[in-house]
Amino acid sequence: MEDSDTAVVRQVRAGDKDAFRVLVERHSHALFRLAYRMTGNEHDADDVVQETFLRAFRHLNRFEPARSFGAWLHRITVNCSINLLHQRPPQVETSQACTPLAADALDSLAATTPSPDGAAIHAELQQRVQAALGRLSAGERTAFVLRHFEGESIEHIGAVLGVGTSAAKQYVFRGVQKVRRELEPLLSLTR
Amino acid sequence: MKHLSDEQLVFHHYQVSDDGHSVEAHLAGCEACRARYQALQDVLSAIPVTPVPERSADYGRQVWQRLQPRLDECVVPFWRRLFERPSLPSLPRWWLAPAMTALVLAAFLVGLFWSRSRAQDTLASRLRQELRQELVADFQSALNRSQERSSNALAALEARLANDSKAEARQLVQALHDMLGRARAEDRQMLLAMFRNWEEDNAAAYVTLRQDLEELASLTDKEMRRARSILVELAAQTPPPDPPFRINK
Repeated sequence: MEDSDTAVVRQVRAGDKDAFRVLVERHSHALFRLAYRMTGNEHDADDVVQETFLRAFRHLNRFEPARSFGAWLHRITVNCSINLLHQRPPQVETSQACTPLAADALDSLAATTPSPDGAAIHAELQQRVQAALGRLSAGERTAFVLRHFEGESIEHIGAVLGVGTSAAKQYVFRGVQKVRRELEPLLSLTR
Repeated sequence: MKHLSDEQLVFHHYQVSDDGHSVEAHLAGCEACRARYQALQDVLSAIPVTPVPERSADYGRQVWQRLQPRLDECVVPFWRRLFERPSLPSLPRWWLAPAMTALVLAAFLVGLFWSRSRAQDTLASRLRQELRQELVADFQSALNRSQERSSNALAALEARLANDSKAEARQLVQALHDMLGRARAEDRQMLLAMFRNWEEDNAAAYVTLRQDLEELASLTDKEMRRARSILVELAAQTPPPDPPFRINK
């Protein structure tokens, strides 16, 4: 029978460093997904996964066994992603970094928008999506990404953010409102 | 009719609404809210859910291989482990600051009382010695004066009785000498008793002073313990802080 995360954590805490491998192999894919959604860049996401596990190992004694180890790891991933995003120089041009969030949507928008100014609107919309996400607070961005892209439950989002379900819902709501304010004027032009 | 709020519409879209059925019913009957809901969905659907790049099935093993050599860098110094014991996970990080402050304060108070107690001891001992010397000097002086006066009186009496019958005079002088000797011994006893009484009183006062100081130190210690337990309780009741996010501009 597969050991639970908490049991493995106990082993690692007792000095069995190699037991940490089980946790790494078990959670790497999920963390990569989240890191990619947060950073929008494949290589950055790999770095974030590494950094997440390093931090988790270093601070394993802070993990409370009563809580979800997965949510705890996700929380570290979010922090690492936010740190990385803040270290990045501001990017306004269209790049690989923003494609996960907007490029495909803009392509599909272009296909369904017969406007002659479609290309210009694309570029503008793409920038606005990035700008909107950039203006979200860390909590709003995390909640929005987890709910909108990953379809995570409000309870999980709350656990990742370290808040209750009501607060988690508010983070989602505020994130959506800010994104709407950025996108609606442009979208109205395409209609 | 009360229209739906933006909040209700967003929660309904993400299926996290507490009153999904009533929102649904309202949307069915309210064209304005239905239009607003459609506008919201248009915006949110314009944001695509793009696929995440694939990672191979052994991605976890790859991560571990890169991670393993770096784990040795994570050797935590003993003093950090001390503060990260599993028995203290529920305490938020901020407990360290007041705890350290309390510790420093306690050390300061202990040092203060310790040095005060030592100073009191030294002062009491010195005063006691000085008072004893003074008393002994007074006693010696009184004794000398008494002896001198007795000797003078005896010499004068001997001279006055020189012409009297020698036998009678000798008896008288002897009686007087004995009487003076007894009086001197009584004086000595009396002064010694006085000195002993003073010493006992002084010792009792010293013991009382010491008890007072010990009681004060004990009370202070109790207060410190109580303050520390309140701090620990407060720390346990305080929820962990939000992750150290940075606020985006």
